[in-house]
Amino acid sequence: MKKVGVAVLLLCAVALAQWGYDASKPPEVFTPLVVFPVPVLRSAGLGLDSALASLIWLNAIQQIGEVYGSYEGLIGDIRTINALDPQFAYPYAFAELVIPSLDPSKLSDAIAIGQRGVEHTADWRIPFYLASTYVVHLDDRENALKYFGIAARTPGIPSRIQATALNYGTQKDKRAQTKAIWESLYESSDDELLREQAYTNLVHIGILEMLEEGIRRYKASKGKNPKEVQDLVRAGLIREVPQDPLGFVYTIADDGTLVPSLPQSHDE
Amino acid sequence: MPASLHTILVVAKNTFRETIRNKVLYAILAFAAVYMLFTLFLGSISLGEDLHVIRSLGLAGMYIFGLIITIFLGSSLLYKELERRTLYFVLSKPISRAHLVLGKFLGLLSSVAVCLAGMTVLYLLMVAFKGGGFDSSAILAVFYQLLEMSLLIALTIFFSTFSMPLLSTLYAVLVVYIGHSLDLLMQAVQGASAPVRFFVQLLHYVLPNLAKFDIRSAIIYDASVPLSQALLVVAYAAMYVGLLLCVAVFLFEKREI
Repeated sequence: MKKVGVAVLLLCAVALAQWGYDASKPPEVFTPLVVFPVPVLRSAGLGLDSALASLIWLNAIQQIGEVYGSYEGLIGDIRTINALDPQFAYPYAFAELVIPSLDPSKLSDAIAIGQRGVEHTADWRIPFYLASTYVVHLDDRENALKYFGIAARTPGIPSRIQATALNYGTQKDKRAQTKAIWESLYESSDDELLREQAYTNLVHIGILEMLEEGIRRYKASKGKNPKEVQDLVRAGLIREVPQDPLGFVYTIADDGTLVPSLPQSHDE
Repeated sequence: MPASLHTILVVAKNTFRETIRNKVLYAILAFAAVYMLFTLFLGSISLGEDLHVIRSLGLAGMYIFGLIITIFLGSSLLYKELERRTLYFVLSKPISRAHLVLGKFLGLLSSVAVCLAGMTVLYLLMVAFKGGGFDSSAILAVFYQLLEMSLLIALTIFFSTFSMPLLSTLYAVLVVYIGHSLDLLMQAVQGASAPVRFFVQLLHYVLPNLAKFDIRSAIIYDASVPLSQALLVVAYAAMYVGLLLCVAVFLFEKREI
């Protein structure tokens, strides 16, 4: 019993000594982890590149804003992660989402990371965020259209986000410009996928224009808005409701606005 | 069953019992279990990438701890018999040195396989717990790892026929590093002079090239492994193990005890 008492006393004394030591230490200055160049990591990593990438990712996200000061360190870490494990999708998406807003001077770095992500992974978030960066920060509608299109075709994209991506630039005030961009892409690109995407979007815009023209003429002749797109067929203004190549179905709001939406089955 | 095969299996059974009773092995396995459970915490601070982190770090942990167990047990296997002088007793029985080497190899391989199986079960439970379902493809990665471990066991037995355990461990670690760097080395000397390239190519083909046993990245991203490639990898491991054990038997038979 006496021995146990001495042991407990010593344990308390040890804890007290540690507390005293901690209190006497100057406050610790955080320093970022030094990440070695990729070839060094690869040769020392026994092929465990993916695990190394995960560890660098965990380290990077714990230090954002606290240690880096600028986002140069974060960009460097993400580049290292991308090089070690090119298919690890979230770091690309994270860089695309966070860096342009927090440090606009690093916009070109963020775009380069996003473009690499689109090349190496099939994660809709990367092209979607990249397109958003082009819209918000650069007002580059041509690239925004391109990457929204890629995002919309990527498996796993939620239907609401897919609709947003597909509908980008189809609002009336921007439609002519969007149409011109798709036409120029269709005529100038050698990329079959991009040409197909341009063609599909041009057909989609054509349908929007046709239905809106039908609604306008319906109102002019009947003095009221049609309730549904079938009313345009019944009034003989269009032969049939065209099938949208992007999968949209159309309804008409009370004020006569055409509302395109994707059916729920378009999820995944 | 032929008598020689029976003898090998008896030695293998005893080696398995001996290695599995090693207390240090349990300490290593306990560390492995703590590490594996710690990956759950690491996953939780990864901004929603829990499964990716658990799978990549979990498979890497199984590899590292499997490597430690293999080298730790393998490098002292024959030396212990010599040091305790139990080898004299064993060889006085109708057991040849070849039987002993092959039995030791099979016994240690079984122990490593059992340890790996334990870690795999823990890994699979963790992945399932985090909503990843039954990660059946990880079993293929562990099988590849076992092939690599079998090669390393043969290598440590080979080294232990002529060197002390510490040196055997050092040699084995060096071969592991070189074996995983051969592809990088080939890339690095692409612009070098012809003799340098020839020398590196020679190393590339002769030394155990271990990078082919690493399919962890492919498994994490659910990529498939072509059957022809898998068969080549199995054949490579079997032939290299055969080669190392043949040389180990030859050296062991030449050795004066």
